[in-house]
Order: sequence, then C-alpha cells, then structure tokens
Amino acid sequence: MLGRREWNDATIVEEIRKGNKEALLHLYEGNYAPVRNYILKNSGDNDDVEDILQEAVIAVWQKVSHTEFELTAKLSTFLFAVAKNLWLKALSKSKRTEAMEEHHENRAVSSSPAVHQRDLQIVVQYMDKLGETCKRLLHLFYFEEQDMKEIANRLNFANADTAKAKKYQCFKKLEQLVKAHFSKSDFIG
Amino acid sequence: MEEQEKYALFDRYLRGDLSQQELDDFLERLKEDPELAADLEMHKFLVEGIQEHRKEELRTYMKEKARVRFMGNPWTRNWTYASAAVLLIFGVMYVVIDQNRKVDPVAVKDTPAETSTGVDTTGEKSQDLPEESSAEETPQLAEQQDPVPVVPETEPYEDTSGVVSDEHDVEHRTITELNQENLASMPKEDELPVKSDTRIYDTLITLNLAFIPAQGAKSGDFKDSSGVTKQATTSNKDEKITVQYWKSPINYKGYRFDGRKLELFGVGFSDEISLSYLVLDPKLKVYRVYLKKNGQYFPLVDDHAYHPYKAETDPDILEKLK
Repeated sequence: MLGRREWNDATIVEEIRKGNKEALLHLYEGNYAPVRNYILKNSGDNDDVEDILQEAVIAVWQKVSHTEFELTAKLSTFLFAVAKNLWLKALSKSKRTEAMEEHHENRAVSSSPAVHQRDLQIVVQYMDKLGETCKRLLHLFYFEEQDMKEIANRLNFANADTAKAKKYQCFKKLEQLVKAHFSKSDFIG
Repeated sequence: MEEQEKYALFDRYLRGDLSQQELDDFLERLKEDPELAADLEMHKFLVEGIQEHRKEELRTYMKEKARVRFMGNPWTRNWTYASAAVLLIFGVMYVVIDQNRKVDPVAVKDTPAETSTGVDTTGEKSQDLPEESSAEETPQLAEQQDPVPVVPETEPYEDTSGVVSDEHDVEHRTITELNQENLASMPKEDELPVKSDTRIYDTLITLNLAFIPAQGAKSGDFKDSSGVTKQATTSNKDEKITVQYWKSPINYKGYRFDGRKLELFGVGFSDEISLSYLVLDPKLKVYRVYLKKNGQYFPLVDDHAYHPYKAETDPDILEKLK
C-alpha cells in the first residue's frame, strides 16, 4: 500500500499492472475537477460526471494494463481526453434518436444494442459462478489483455502453457453454463 | 481442428494478432463455413460478457470507495480566480501607494533636493513590487549612509536611515495622509480604471487529423491494409483551432485551451507559432496538441484552465514531433 504522497504517474502505472484497485481511486479523485468542469459546462449534470469519469478511468486502467503499454503522456491528459470523447459521444447519441451504430470490429452484429446488453448480463451472471482463479484468469486475458507469461507469473502458474490450458478450461466452463441457459430458456419459451 | 486451437485462433483474431496471410485465410474460411462463423459469434459474445463483468467489478469498487475532495483540490479554477483577485488587490494597492508618493506633501517637504527620495526611503520594501527597480538605488543608499559629509544631499537621508523603523513610519504616514487629504480628489470606487486582458489578434490553424476517419466512413476503410493511409487521408477529419493572441496587464505568460480555441498570453507576432499533434491512441481517438514556439514544443492541456508554457523535454516525444 502506498502513502498518499507517493502516488504519481509512474506508481499508478505500476500499481495498475499489479492489479491494485487503489490506483482507480487516485485516477478518479485526481481527475474529478477538470472532468466535472468540462461536463457541467457542456450541458451535463453531476450524474453524467460520475458515469463518464468511471468509464474513462476504466478505459485508462484497461489501456495501462496491456503488456505492451508505454506511457507517452501524462495520465491526466490521457484520461481527460478519453472522458471528453466519451461525453461527446454520449451527447451525440442522445441527440440522435436513432443511435448511430459504431462500426466496431468486435461488435456482435446480430441483435439490437438493448437486447445485446441484456444478453450480456447473462454472461456476467455466469461469470460470477466461476471460481476465483478462473475469474481472474479470464479477466487478465480478455480485459487487461496481458500475455500468458505475465498471467502465469501473477497467478502463480508453473508457466505460460499451464496458464493457457487453464484459460481454455475456464472459458469452456463459462460457455457450457451460458449455452445451457439458452437451451433451457429456448425450451421454456 | 481441435477446439482449443480454434479458440486460440479466435482470440488472436479478436485481438488483431493475425498476420495478413492468416487473416485472409481465416476470413475465407468464415465465408465457407457457417458453423465456424456461428462459433465465432458465440466466442465474441462470451468475451464481451467477460469484459463487462470486469468493468462492473471496477465500477462497483469506485462507486463504493471514491471520495471526491473537490473543494480541497487547489488546482480548480475557483482557486485561480481567488489568486487573481489577490493579485488585483495588490496591484491596486501598488498603484495607490505609488500615486501617493508622487503627490505626498510630506515626502516632498522632507526631501526638497530630490523628488525620488520618497521612493528611496522605502527602497527595501519595494523590492517585492515588480516595476520598482531599486537595484540602482540601493547601493546609492548604502553609500550615503556611511560617509556623511561627502555628498551634499545626504542630510535628508540622515533623518530617515539612522533609525530603521522610521522607514515604516514614513510609509504609514503617507498612506493615512493620502487617505485624509486626497480622498476628495480620488476617483470613486466604480470609477477606478481596472485594466483587463485584451485580445490582440485572431487566427485560424487547421489540424489535419488524418488518423481519424470522417464521420460515416466505414471501418472497412481502415481494414484494407494496403490502402490504409491514402483512404484515411481522403476521409480525414480536420480540426480547426482558433488561435487568439492576448495581452494581460500583468504580462501573464501562459495559455488556455479547450481543444477548439487556444488563447495565448505573452506571445508576440515576432514569435513563430505553429501547432502539431501526437496520436496517443488511434482507437480511442486520443491525441495531444503541441504548440511550437520558436522551435520549442509545448504540450497543451485542453481543460480550459490557464497553464504556463512548459516545454516538452522528453527526447522520444520530441523526435516523434519532428
């Protein structure tokens, strides 16, 4: 645990890499004022400030966690720019009744965003049912996008191959749970 | 293909880790094999769910733990206003005291030989004030303190410099006397001329953000790797930035920037100005604007608050900017 004075960009990056969530608080609290000023000045309210700031902090966390991340700007600069983009996007979305779909590579194409979001909650729900190691392993690989060597190191696996095999098992388990859910509800429906 | 291999391939595809050849092969197979395509959809869906799960975990943590000490943050703009107000008060006091010295009958009476002696008596104090350069006058004072009879005009100094505390008395007297005697002739409070910042010149600089696709451009424009840069530049997004040259009465040197408008203080027309930017993250469309002033690069914070110019020193960044 770090004392308040010892937090700076370098230590925040370091702590994020270690998965220390306290770093989130420093990003959040340290950038509240400028983000708040910006959003309130641009037709947002305090709830918007919280939502946008949280999303921005999470985006920075995700970015910094990447194995290949290199710090090229002050974290505050980076975070503010992300928050601004998120807010502008939210504004333009609310302006247009028909939300313009983002052309994202990773998007699931089939369903509407609302349905998709609801379905996603099913996966989230079954994630909770997995063991702690599985959860962390899947997070580190799919959200923080760290490489297997680093994950093996963090979760005390013998090596990257062990981590890889374990990740497959965990993913498979989640898939089974979700598939079972859908076939059951299909049957009922 | 074994299932574990298939998942590994999906993961590499989703992360963008496939080589061009592998990607072409994979896309070809997807077209021909609907089952594979369905499996990929399922895979994507689960991955998104995992990501959402993690996000919710982090979000919940922040909601529970974050305490915002907004008022305690010294770098809010309120604070800036407060310090500006304090500066203004000192500025007005300075002007008042200065005027007072010139018209003060006591000072004139005490020092008939030299009108500037009124200033000299307070020489030490006025070092804090910006304009009053007591550098030339202080040595004079020191000289005149020691050898009494050499300079003819030393007599008035003898009175004041002999007793140090007298200096303060003199100043006090002048202020109170000014208040009493010159109150009538002073302008009323609302007539006091307060100098404000003045805008000197406006210009428009266009940043060509070639890395951001224009609205409506399909992501496909970016995917075809052969034509990436060309297609990107034809469908680019230009950011027009209004640059304003400002002058402040206290000669403030710094800037204020909100992404669209840049206010420069303490920059003259003789300074060579240009803007450039550095892409921090193309996917999130995050970039940072740099001001190039007389060959030096200054990163600009775009939070619409006043910042001093702080030159970029990181050699890697400087290399990229060139």
